[in-house]
Amino acid sequence: MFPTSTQKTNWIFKDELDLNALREDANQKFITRFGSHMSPEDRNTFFLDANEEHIIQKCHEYILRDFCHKFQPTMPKYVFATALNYLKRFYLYNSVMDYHPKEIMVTCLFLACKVDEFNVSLAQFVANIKGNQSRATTVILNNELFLMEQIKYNLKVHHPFKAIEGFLLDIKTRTRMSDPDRMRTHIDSFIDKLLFTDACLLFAPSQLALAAVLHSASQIKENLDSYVTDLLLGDTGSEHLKDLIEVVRRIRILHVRIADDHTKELSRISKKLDKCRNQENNPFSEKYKDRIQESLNNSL
Amino acid sequence: MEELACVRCMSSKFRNPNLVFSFNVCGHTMCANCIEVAFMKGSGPCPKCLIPLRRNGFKLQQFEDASVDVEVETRKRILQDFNKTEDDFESLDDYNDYLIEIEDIIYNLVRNINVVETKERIDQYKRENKEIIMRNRMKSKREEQALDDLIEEEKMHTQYKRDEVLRDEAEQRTKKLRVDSELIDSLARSNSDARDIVNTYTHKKEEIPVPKPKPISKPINFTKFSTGVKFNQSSIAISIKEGPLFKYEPVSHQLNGPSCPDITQLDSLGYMKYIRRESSQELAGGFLIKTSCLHYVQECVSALYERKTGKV
Repeated sequence: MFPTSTQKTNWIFKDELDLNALREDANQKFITRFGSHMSPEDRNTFFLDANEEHIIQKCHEYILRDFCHKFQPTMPKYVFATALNYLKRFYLYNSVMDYHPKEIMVTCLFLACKVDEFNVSLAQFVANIKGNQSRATTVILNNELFLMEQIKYNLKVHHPFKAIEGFLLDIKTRTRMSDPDRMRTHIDSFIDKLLFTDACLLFAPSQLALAAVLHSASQIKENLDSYVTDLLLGDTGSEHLKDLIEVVRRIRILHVRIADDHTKELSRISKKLDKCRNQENNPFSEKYKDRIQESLNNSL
Repeated sequence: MEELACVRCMSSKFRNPNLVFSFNVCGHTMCANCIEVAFMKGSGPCPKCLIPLRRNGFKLQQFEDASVDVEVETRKRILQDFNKTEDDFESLDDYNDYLIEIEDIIYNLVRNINVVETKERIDQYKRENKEIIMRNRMKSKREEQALDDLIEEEKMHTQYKRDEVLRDEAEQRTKKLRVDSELIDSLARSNSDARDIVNTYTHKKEEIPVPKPKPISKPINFTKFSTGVKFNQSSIAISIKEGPLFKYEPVSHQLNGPSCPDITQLDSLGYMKYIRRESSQELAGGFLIKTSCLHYVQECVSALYERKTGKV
């Protein structure tokens, strides 16, 4: 149940300003930690800013989608959605420069597989990764607990998929609309797009589902306004109508705004990231090996 | 020393080596045949000392002198009650006095000295130390149980080891057989030199690894339940805590959204029309599609009025 979930208490924010403030904060923390010896101008050129970080994160979300598409055995959509949610949550409080999204991304997906009961073994999972698989194994195992800690062990994620089924069922039962299943393709594409926005950090899954249903109804030239006002909300809920309209409007804005394409900037930012990332967390660097060695020695 | 003989028929081991002797509380020996005849009714007097005896009181004689057997029996019986240990006494002297008392009692009983008085002593002791006797009996029982368990475990362990070795040997044998049959196959079909083929296969056969004695892991021991209670442990009274009775309160959900139909209303409102029926396998598992249907409907109204106003 969403109303009693950790998702609602910890991971739903008021608006995008809140989210941006958190990201800015994480970015600044990293820069002050590693750039204390630099002049402000150098810092700006050397480190990524919050916006660039966000672009990197966005691009990795699409990489994750492609990875999930090719994944064998075929992966249900909600597993991907959960992983994406973890990724978003993680980078609210952490900088891309500190932990490379490539590593966090696979860890998120592996954790999501477990949480959403999509049963794959680690070996099976890693078999889908091109490149060094044994290294991927260590990366996933090293990061998994850390990731869970960062998302406060709030593992259950509620998605709009179930609510959409609920709405379709409700519409079939209570209205005379002919074949509501016609909306499905539109709903799916709407929700698919929304996954890549911050919508899941701002709105309840039922609200997202409602927005998707209303949007697709307008796409097939049907009107569900009377369904919402008369049947869904009824007499008792009429006071909430204004809020609900506002919420749906905001979700549709999010949906429209998604079109930005960052592929051009990506290569430039990636190069920059390779230089400025925290080498202690880069499994290829000498610093990383030193750190691991040191912690091993300490533990002995 | 006089020869061990039956007090009734006077036959002895010397005359009849197959004779089986038994004795009773009075310490007089009788052969199995005479017991059969004299105690046909189940009880009767001892032919020698005329003490009334019971038939089922006869025990197989293990020592040449029946009086030793009597003493052993008596000792066993007495020690069942006089089972205090050193821990039950404050000082070593007390304990020693207690041991001496036991010996006195046993001596008296065996030699028929002051039997009545001694029996009174025993009864008095039993009355006075009822609790301690019971407790120590339980304790020794448990110790015996633990010993039995240990023996059982050892047995299983050796069994497991033996099985392991046998399995390894069988494996080895099948491997060798397979190599042999391969050799015959290739001899029959291949065109190359027969000697070469034989050579390669002898190498192959040598290469079969001799099974190394593996570090033997302990076999899973099924003498306990998962709770740690042993299978055949005498039931120890479980203390039941009396608390307030559990009272079921139906769960209520704060949906924070429009009202939503109850699970009982789903049918009448027509929701179930659009949902598949559960299969018979699902029904057997206790799955009701109604519950899922309710979840879907709840999911779409829950938190619909959600509005975050403050910062987290």
